[in-house]
Order: sequence, then C-alpha cells, then structure tokens
Amino acid sequence: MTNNLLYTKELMHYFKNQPYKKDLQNYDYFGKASNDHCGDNIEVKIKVNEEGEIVDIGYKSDGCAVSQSYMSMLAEDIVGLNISGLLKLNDNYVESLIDLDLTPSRKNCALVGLRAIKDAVKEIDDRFDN
Amino acid sequence: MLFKDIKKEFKIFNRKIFDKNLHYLDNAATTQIPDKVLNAIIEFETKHRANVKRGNHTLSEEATNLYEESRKIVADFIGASVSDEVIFTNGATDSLNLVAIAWGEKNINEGDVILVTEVEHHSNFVPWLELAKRKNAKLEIIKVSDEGKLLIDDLNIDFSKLKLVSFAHVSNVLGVVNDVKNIVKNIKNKCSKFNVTPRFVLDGAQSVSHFKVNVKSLGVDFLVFSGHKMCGPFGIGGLYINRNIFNEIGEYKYGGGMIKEVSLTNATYGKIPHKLEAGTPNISGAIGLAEACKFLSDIGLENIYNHEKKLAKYLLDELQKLNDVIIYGPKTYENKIGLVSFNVMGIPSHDLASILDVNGVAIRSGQHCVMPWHTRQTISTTARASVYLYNDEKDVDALISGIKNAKDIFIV
Repeated sequence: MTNNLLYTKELMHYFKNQPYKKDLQNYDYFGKASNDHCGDNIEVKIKVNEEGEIVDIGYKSDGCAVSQSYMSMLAEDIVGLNISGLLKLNDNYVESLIDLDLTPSRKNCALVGLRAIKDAVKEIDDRFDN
Repeated sequence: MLFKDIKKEFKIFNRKIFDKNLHYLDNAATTQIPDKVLNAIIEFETKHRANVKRGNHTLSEEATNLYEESRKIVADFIGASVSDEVIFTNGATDSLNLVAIAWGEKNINEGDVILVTEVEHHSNFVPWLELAKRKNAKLEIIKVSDEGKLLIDDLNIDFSKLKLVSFAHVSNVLGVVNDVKNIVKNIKNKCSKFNVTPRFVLDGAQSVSHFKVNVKSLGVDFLVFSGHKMCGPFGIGGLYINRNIFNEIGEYKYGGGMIKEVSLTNATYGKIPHKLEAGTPNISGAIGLAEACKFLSDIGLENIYNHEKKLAKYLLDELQKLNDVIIYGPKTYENKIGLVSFNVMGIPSHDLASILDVNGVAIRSGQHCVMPWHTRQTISTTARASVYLYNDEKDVDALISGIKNAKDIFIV
C-alpha cells in the first residue's frame, strides 16, 4: 500500500473527529504505551460503572495520524463493553476496524492504542471478572 | 565542478521512488556514496584484499600500505599534524565511546566536572552521562537559546574542577554552526585562574563534510566523525587525538593488533594509533573513507559550503512562505548548514514524512536522537530536511510541493 492510499477520507475523518480525545478527571483505569519508531505516545483513562461497564474514556495523544485514528475508532467501539471484555481484544480486531492494508511499520502505529488499553487493564479488578 | 551535474556521480539517483525522481533530503542521517568511492572499495577487495600487518606476502603489504595511506589522507583532510593522530573507528559514536573509556576512565575522578550541552546527539551525551555516574563526577549542561546559540557567558559551574568539555561543531537538530574557536577560548580563560586545562571533544559528525575543518586552528583535543555522513561507506569513522595528550590515553578494546607483549599473566600495549585499533580493522572502509575525503577535496569544501548555503537560504525562504510551518532554531541561513527542523501545524511529522515519501522526497521525522531538547521544547517529534552537495532547487521545490499535498490531505 502506498502512503497516499493510507490517508483515505475515512482515516482522516477519524483523525479529525476524536470525541474521546479529552482529559478524564474521574477514572478507574489508566494505561500508556508508546511506539518508539515514530514517537507515538498514548495515555488512556477508563471510567466504569458498578457493573464494570465502560461509561467513559479519555485519552491523550500527539502521535501520528494512524495511531490517533485507530485509538479514536477503538474508543468509540469499546464504550459500553464490560471492562473484562477488553482482555479479549487482539491485534486482528484492531486492524479490522477500518479497511486499510497497513505496512508492518504502520501496523505498529495502529496498535499503540490497544497496547495502552491493555496496559490499563493488566491488573483487572476482581469484581469484574466473568 | 558543476553542481548541476553532480547527481550523475551517484548511481542511486537513477532510482525512482513511487515513479518519482529521488529528492534525497535526509543527509544529516546519512549521505549518498559516489561511484568513485564504491569503485575504490571494489578495487581493494578484488585486487589487494588481505589482512594488514599480519603477513609477509604481496597482498598483505599492499593492504597495509593502502590502509596507512588512507590514514594519512584522512589526517590531512582534517588538518592533523601527523597521521598517527587519526584512529580509525566504526563511526562517531564509537569514537566518542572510545574517548569516554580510554581517556575518561584514566582521567576523570570523583568530584570532577564534565560539561556538555542540552542539544547534543545521544552519542555525545550518554557516554558522558554514564562516565559521570561511574566515577561520581558531575555532569553540567550548557543551555541553548531558541536560536541555537550555546549560552556559555553565564555558566555557573565549578571551573576549578572542569576536566572535559564536549559539544557538537554543528547541531544535528538545529543546523547551527558553533563558534568552536571562541567557545574553547572562553572556557579556557575561565579555567586559567584555577590553573586547570580541560580537554575538548568536538563532535564533527555534521561538520567535516560540509566545510573545511582544521583541528589545530580550532584548538580541540579530540575530533570525531563518521564516514557515512561524508559520502563514505558505513561502518567507518575517525577519531583525531592531539599527540600532545597521547600519554593521557589508556586502552579501549583489547585483542590482536594493539598489544606489545602478552604472557599468561600480563599484557603490555602498543602505541597510538594501533593501540586503539584492536582486531582486524575495516580496511575497505578506511580506503573508502579516504576516497571520500579526496572526492570532497576535489570539489572543494568551500565550494560545497557555498552551494549548500545558497540552497539553505532557498529552503528557509520557501518554507517561510508557507503558512502553518514552524521552524526551530535560526530562521536565517548565515550560521547554519542546510539543515532545518520544522513542523507543519495540524500534521504529525511522521505522517508528513510518509506523504512526502510518496512524492519522492526523503526527509526524517522523529527526535533525531536529541530527546532532551524535544522534551524541553515540549514537542513530540519534528520533521527534518537536510541538503548536501548533490541537492538543488528542484529538490526543495519537491519538498514544498509535498508539504502542500500533505496540507490538502489534512485540510490545513
């Protein structure tokens, strides 16, 4: 895939519209990850209710458009899920969020958000185990 | 030498990138290698290849002569007094680590001060950081203005304990050319009332290929440089050591080629430069580096710098015509090489580099191994374009056109 085909209208839409790119004052889980290859850093905060359902997400990122767009898509997709459900997310799931054929180096960019989320839930609260 | 024809000396410019001409603007990362240098390497490997100093046969004699002639050519290139003052290493990083170990271990003690700047490449920062930790010495940092000037006038350090100063001749992130002679004089003056003479290490990785560098007139004790940043091959570089301080230098790596005598319980070591070149050297690399020095000298370093400065002016002017471009460091070309770090507002630099790639333009995006400076500026990453002798206005035009393309995609 050439790089011009990477910056599709759809990818750019998610880059320009990131409703969850915000600070969260009250949160239950915090995680971060970075991609040394291109300086992508993502910090994510997750708020859950008493049943363990994700009610809000806030993330901070100044990385590349690919990492931010995928983080934005991921955030929209996981609000409403049970927190324990995040443990089941994998790379394939993230890559399937949008129809793009990523080069290996750009796949790393796309997966930074997932890695930040995984970091947030690595010591998941017992209350919410299925 | 007509600069407009110079691309013909480099086969790589026959290459297309996404069907576009190659507009290579990543010279601060590495330069391209001319056919002449490649031919000199092939000539050695196909006609004279043997190990140096270790045989009494024709090929070994030829290889040894070629290797030592290369040392002389490189020594002349940087203005060393004798060829023994040049040690072949595998690059500037290796050279800096060599000084930190071979000089640093022997001469830095607890409480001593090592002085570096906040805008050094990691290779000229981390070795000193670790040396200071090992020896319980103090690492002091020279601040840099936003224009890239080293702020040495109000330095508040213990000059009575200053043992080593290390800084870059040219910044790889701001492109600024430091006034080495005056910086050395200034610091020496401050130390003189304490009867202290610190040693000076100069990182020449971004300077020796862009303009004439003469180590004697600069007054430094050590100079480091890399072959691949001066039209030479990868895996070779040089370290200049002033012969007046040879007695201060210990060992770096141990092994064959650097010893005098070895018994089962003890070893003694040879003289500089061979004492600091353990193992089989990168013979073809050294020959390639010498050929690169000849290539640059034939064109004339002054001609190269003048060409580059004209292009630097054009690059800066064109970038500044665009809206939303932030340029870091000086906005004028007078005390710079043709290197500009910048960002386009609203476009992460990695994406900018990717889109430029599709336009045939190669730039670098990241932190350029200068993390502390990026942290201080609270910038995540920057884009960096750097020109060299084979670049022309068409390359700059392609960069500008690529930036405009990126702005369309990102709707900036």
